[in-house]
Amino acid sequence: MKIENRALGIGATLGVIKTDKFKNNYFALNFLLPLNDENIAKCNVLSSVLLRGTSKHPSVSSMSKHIGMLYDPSFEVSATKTSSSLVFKIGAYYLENDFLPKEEKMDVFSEITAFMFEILKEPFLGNGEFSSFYTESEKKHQIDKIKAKINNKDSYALSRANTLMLGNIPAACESLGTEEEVNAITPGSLYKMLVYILQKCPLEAVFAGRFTVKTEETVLKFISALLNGRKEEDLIPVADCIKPSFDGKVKDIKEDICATQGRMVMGFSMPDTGEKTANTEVFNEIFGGSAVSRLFTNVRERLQLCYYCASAQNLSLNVMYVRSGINRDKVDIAKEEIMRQLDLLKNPQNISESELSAAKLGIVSNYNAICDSVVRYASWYINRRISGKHTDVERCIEEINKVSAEDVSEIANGAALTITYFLNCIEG
Amino acid sequence: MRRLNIIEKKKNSIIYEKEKNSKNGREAFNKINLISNEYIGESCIKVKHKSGLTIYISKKPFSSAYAIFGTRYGSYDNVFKLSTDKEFSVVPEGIAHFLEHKMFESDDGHDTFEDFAEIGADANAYTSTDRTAYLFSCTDNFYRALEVLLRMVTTPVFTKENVLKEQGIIGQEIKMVLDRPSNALYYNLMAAMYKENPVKIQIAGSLESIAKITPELLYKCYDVFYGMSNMALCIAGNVDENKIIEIADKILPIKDSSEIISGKINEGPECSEKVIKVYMEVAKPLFRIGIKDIYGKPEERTAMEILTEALFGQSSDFFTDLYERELVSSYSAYTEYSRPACYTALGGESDCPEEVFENFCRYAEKMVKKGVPKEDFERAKRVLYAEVMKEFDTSESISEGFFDAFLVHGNFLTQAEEYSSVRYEEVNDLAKRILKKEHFALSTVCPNKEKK
Repeated sequence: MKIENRALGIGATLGVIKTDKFKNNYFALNFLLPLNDENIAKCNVLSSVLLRGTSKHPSVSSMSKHIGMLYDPSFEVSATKTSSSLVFKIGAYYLENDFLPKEEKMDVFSEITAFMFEILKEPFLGNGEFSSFYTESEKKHQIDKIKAKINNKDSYALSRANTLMLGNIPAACESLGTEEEVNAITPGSLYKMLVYILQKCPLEAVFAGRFTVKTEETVLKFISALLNGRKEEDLIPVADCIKPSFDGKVKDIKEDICATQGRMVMGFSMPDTGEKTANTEVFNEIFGGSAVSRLFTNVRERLQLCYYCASAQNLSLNVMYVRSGINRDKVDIAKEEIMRQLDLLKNPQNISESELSAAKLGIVSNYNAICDSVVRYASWYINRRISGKHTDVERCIEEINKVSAEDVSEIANGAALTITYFLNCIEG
Repeated sequence: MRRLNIIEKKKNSIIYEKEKNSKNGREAFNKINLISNEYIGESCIKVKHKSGLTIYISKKPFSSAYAIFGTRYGSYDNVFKLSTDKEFSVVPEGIAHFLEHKMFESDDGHDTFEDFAEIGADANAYTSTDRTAYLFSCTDNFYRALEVLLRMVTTPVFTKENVLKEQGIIGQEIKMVLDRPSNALYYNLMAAMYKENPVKIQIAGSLESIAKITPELLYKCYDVFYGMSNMALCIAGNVDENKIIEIADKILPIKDSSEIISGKINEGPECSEKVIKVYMEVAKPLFRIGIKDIYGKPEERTAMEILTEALFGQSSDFFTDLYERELVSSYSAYTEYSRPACYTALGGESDCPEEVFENFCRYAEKMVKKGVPKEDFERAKRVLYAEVMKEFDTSESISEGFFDAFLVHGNFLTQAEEYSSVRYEEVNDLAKRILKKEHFALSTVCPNKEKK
C-alpha cells in the first residue's frame, strides 16, 4: 500500500491509501492550528457543539439517529494536541457499499461527506452565532472532562509530569484546555473559530480504502465546496515544533491523592537525533518498551516492585517517560533500579545480539502491522506529515534494521533524568 | 470424494460446510470443514482436531497474523466437578487469573514472553469471567510463535517458589485495579444484582484469596479446564492451514476429558440490592444501571443487543433526552449474555445519578406499555450489523470473534445477518420480560468531597 499525495487547491493536501483488503473505509479532514491553551479549549468545545445540531438536524437526537441510519460510521469530530500543532479533525470510518445488506441501495460515502458539509458549513445557529444553550452546555461538559482527569490515576500522573517537565513550550499545554479558557468562550467567539479554521488553517485530508473513480469525484467536489472562498494570503503557516530545554537540575515533586497505589513518573531528556529516530526507538524497546524489556524483567519480575514499569518516548520533543504503579515504600529502590538499568545500557557490550535482534523484530512487526488497518495507517500518515517526517513505512523498517548496539548505547548515554514525579497515595 | 453439505440457506447467502481432502494424509483423524458466508465474502476452515481441540483458521491478506488459544474457564468457575467426580471442588477466588499468569513460566524457570519476543511476536493473555485466553500477533515467524504458544499452554509448571513470587506481582495488580472507579462501578453493580453468582467476584481475587493458592490447586484446575475439548485455537492472517494442523498434530496431547459440571447457583430474578454507593477520588459522580435477566440465554444475545441499542444506545431517546437536559455525559450501554450471567448495563457521568435512575425506571415502564419504536428497532439493526462488519477488518477482531462464538456455541460468520433476521415481536417480548423494576439496580461512585 503506497500513499499518493496530491495538492487540492489552497492550503489543502489529500493523501490516498488505496486498498481493497477491508470492508470499511476511512476518510478524515485534519485542520492544523497553532498550539495554545485558547485554541485547545475552543476547538474542544467547538467539536462538541458541532455535534449538537445542524440546520437540518437541530438536536443530538436527530444527529445521532441520522448517523445510525448511515450504518453507524465511527464518526469523529475532535481536537487533538500533537507536539507542534493542534489538529481539528472530522472523520468517519464507514462501511463500504459492497458490504451493505443486499436490499440497501445507499451510497454511504456520499451521505457521509454531505453530513460533514452540513456539520461544518450549516451548523445550528441563531443570530449568526452558535446557540448559547448548546455552547454553555458543552462548556460545562468540557470542564467536567478536565476535572475528570483525576479519575484515571495513571494518565493523570503522566499529564502532571509532562506539564511540570516541559515548562512553557506549546507542547506543555493541557490536552483538554484549562477551565479559565473554557469559561471565556462565547457563542460568537466559537463561531469565529469555525470560520477561522475553514478559511485559514492548512488542511491535511486522508482517504484509506476502496478509492473508486466515484469516490475520488465525491472527495474533490466536497473539499472544493468546503474551502470555497479561501484566499492564499489568509493562510496561516504550519507551526514548527518547539522543543523543551533543560537546565541540568532534576526536579523532585510529590503530590498526594486518595488511592490504593502510588504512581511514579520519571521524565528524561533524550539526545536530539532529528529525523533519524530509529536508534531511540530501538533503545526504548530494549529499556522499557515491551514485556521482555529491562524494566519489565527487572523492576517487575525480578524485584517485584510493581505491577507495571514501562518507558515511552516522544520522538518529536526528545523526551522519555518511565511510568510505574508503586507503593511509597518501594519508590527509592525502584528509582535506583531504573537508573541502574539505564547505566547498563550505556555500554554496548551489555546488549546481547539476541536482545537487539528481538527488539528490532518487535518494532518491525509493529511497522508492518500499520498497514493492517485503514484507521491506523491514515493516522500514522497524518502524524508523520504533521511532524515533517517521511511517510514511507518500508524506509522506517530499513532504518530500524540498521541500528547497532553502539547506536543504542549512544542514546542511553545521552539520556538525562530531569524530573521524578510521585503521586502519593494517602487514605481517603 | 468431496461432499457438499448445505447446512443452512438464508435469503442472501448460502452457508455451507464441505469436507476438505487432506493434503498429506496426516489429518486422517482430524475433521476439516470449510465454512463460508458468500454474501459477506468471508470463509473459515474449521478443524475438529483429533485431540478434541476446535481450530478456526481465517485466511486473510493481512501483514500480521493473530492467534488465540483459549479455554472456557474464567473467574466464574470456582465451584465445579467432572462428571466422573462425586463431590464438587471449591477453589480460591482469582485462581483462573493466577493460573493464566503462571502459564508463562517454563520448566527451566524462564519467562515464555522472551521466546515470543526473540522471534518478533507480541504475546499477551487475559482472563475474564467466562474465559482465559493466550494470544500473540506477529508479521514474521508465525509458525514458530504458534509452536511456542501451543507448548506453553499445554505444559504447566507450578512450583511453590514460582507461586510465591506471583502472589507478590498479582498483589500489586489487585491494588492497582482497586484505584479504578470503573472497576468499583462494575463490581458494585454485580454485587447489587447478584446474591450468589460468582460474576461479582474480582477476576484477580483478593490478597487473602490468592494467598490460599497452591501448586496442587493450580494443577487441579488446569487438569479440569485445560482439556482440549474445552478449548479453541482461533487464527486469522496470511497463514497455511496445513502447517497449522501439522504443528497441532505434533504438540497437542490426546487425552480423554470428562464433562465439566459447574456448581449450582441459587439466584433469584430480583436484584440483591437496589443501590450501592461508594466514594472515591473522582471529579463527579459516575453511575451504572443494571438490568438483571436470570431467564436469559446466550442465544438471546442478538435480540437483546437490538433491544439495548434501540432503547438505551447512543442514539436512543433515553440517552439523547438526558443529554439535552444535561443529566448525563460520557454515556455507554452494553449487553452481556454469556455463560456466567445475562444482563444489560448502561452508565456514564451525572451530577444526579438517582434522578437518572428514576428517569430510567419511568422510561422502561413506558416502553413496555408502548412497545419499542419501530424506527429505533430498524436503526438498531443497522448499527449492530455495521459493528460486526467492522470486526472482519483486523486479524485480532476476527480471531476474537471466532473465540467468542465458540464459547457461546454460535457462528461468527453469520452474526451480521442474524441481526436482520430478528423479528420486531421477539424484541418486544424480551422488553416485557426483563424491563421490570425488581430487575433494576444502580451502582454509583461519588467524589470523596461529597462524603459526609
